[in-house]
Amino acid sequence: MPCGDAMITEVISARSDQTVAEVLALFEEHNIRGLPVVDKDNNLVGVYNFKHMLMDLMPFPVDEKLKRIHILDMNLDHIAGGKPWVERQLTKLLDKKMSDVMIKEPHYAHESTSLREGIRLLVKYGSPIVVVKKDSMEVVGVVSSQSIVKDLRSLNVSVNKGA
Amino acid sequence: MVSVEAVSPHNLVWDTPMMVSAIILVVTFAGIFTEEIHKIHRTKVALLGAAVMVIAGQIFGFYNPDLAIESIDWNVVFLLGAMMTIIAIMIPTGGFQAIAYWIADFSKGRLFLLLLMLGTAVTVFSLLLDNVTTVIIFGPLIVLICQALNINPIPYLLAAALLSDTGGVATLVGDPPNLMIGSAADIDFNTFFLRMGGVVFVAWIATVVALKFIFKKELAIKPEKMKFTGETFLQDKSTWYASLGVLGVMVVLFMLHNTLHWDAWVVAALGMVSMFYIAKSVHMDDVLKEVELPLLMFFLCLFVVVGGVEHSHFLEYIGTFIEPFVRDDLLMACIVLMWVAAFMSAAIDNIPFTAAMIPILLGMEADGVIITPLWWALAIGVGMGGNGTHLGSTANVFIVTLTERLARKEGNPDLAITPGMWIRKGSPVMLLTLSISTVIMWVFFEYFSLPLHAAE
Repeated sequence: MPCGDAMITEVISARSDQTVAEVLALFEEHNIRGLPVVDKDNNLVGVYNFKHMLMDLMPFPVDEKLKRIHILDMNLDHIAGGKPWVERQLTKLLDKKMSDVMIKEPHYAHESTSLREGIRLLVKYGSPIVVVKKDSMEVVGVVSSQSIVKDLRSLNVSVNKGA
Repeated sequence: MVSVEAVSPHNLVWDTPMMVSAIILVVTFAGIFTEEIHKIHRTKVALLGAAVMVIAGQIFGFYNPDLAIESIDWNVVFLLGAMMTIIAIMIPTGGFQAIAYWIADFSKGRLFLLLLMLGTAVTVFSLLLDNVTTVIIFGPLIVLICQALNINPIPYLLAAALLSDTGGVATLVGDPPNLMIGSAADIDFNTFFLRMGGVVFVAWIATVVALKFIFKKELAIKPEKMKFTGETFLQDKSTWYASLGVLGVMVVLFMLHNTLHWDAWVVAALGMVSMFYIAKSVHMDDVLKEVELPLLMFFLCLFVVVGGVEHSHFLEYIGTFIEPFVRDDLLMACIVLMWVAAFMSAAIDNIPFTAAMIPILLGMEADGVIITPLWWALAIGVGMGGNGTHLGSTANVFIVTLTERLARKEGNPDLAITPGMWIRKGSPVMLLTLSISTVIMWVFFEYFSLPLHAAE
């Protein structure tokens, strides 16, 4: 099965000049956890998902892949009192533009890319994996963990029927 | 092919093998020192230099693969590798984090006390672990604490780098150059500490006083009121306390290693073996992934390159020019070596400089020159000189990089330690500690000249 059959075609996307606050509202409104960032021609320029936002809320250097210290599971449940951490970080984050926070060179797939490759990209790089046209970067759909679930179930049914 | 192995030290003549080996040495070192410019990793440069030295040595008859293997100081390589493994087992227990947060809680917003205690913790660990490792562990924790207190972490990070560089000079195992010097000159742990401990202690105190003065404004601000709970995140209490026990036993064994006829690496290796059994849940693959193979390979290749110039007698030849000066006034030679080593260490890198100086000193010693105090001058110079610039030691580079990333994340350029800031706030500390060390060397010169071994 190619990614083209497993993708969602009604894509919720954001522009580079939209803020994190606006994108957060889109996440809530459409019950999604990630979206592609596109230019005025609907070409892919980046990706932003909920995990990226949560990482931005983490204090430095918790999310950094620093030499040796990356094996330390830095526990943050050690502070009592003072202005709440998450609120402080969120205040700084909400006004930032997508162009400043998005993943700038995202991984993507084409409609003809196999589903197993799509799943591999999902596992390795997170949701969503944007599907673009082969000869341009125009967005045609997204493969997300949500879109995959339905197709995995239908695959399972057809395998069982075949057996 | 001409073999030059039988040349008498007194009849050294500039010849082709010397020239070839000198060119390879200079080009390799230049490549290492200019890493920031050409962006080729120093280990890759050292690998190429070592390969060329072995091949050239075989062609011109002064070196070969067997001699190259003999040139490697495995004591240094094994000790570093074992300590890296021990640290990789200790870090995930959360013990270092617990110490840092306990210090933050205990200091209760008294910022100079926070600086002093964090600096002391970093120094104590630097005595046993190399100072780079200590700074890599505590640096991010310091940033986290300062963010919680809503204060600029620069004073505390700079203090960590300066105090670990200074403190690491005190022991045989505190810094890679010390390991190299101790191994080459056969200096045991106790002798090293007895000679270096006093001067390092005074220099350390001076550093702390200087930092209090330099960061007077930053240490006077009122931080946010926070309470840190130190116990809740010791993820593996039993492994942490057991590993502290192993470190304690290792300190005792380091003190006894000469009596036991063990090289220092044996103690570190035994510690590592113990840790693998203490930390039962640890996977060897995960731990050994943290051993910095590029750094160990760097040392290996450096020894091979320097071995080549040793066997060509080039460094001995250099030594013949320095020898009259050393014979004439040993004290002045020590002071000059200390300051030259410090500036070389600040400007470029202390490890290659130490590697090159060792054969020169050994060559002079073979010629009957008393060089004992020169070892101490070299150790002090390369150790404390690292504080001179932001590139002077790997610990400094790490701290600067950490602050740059923090500044980028927070969108606040004031959070980054710039090279200019280091010159203004770090370099004076280097000059101060070196000046103090010069005075101490001058006053206690006879003590530093005492034989290294009882039989001498």
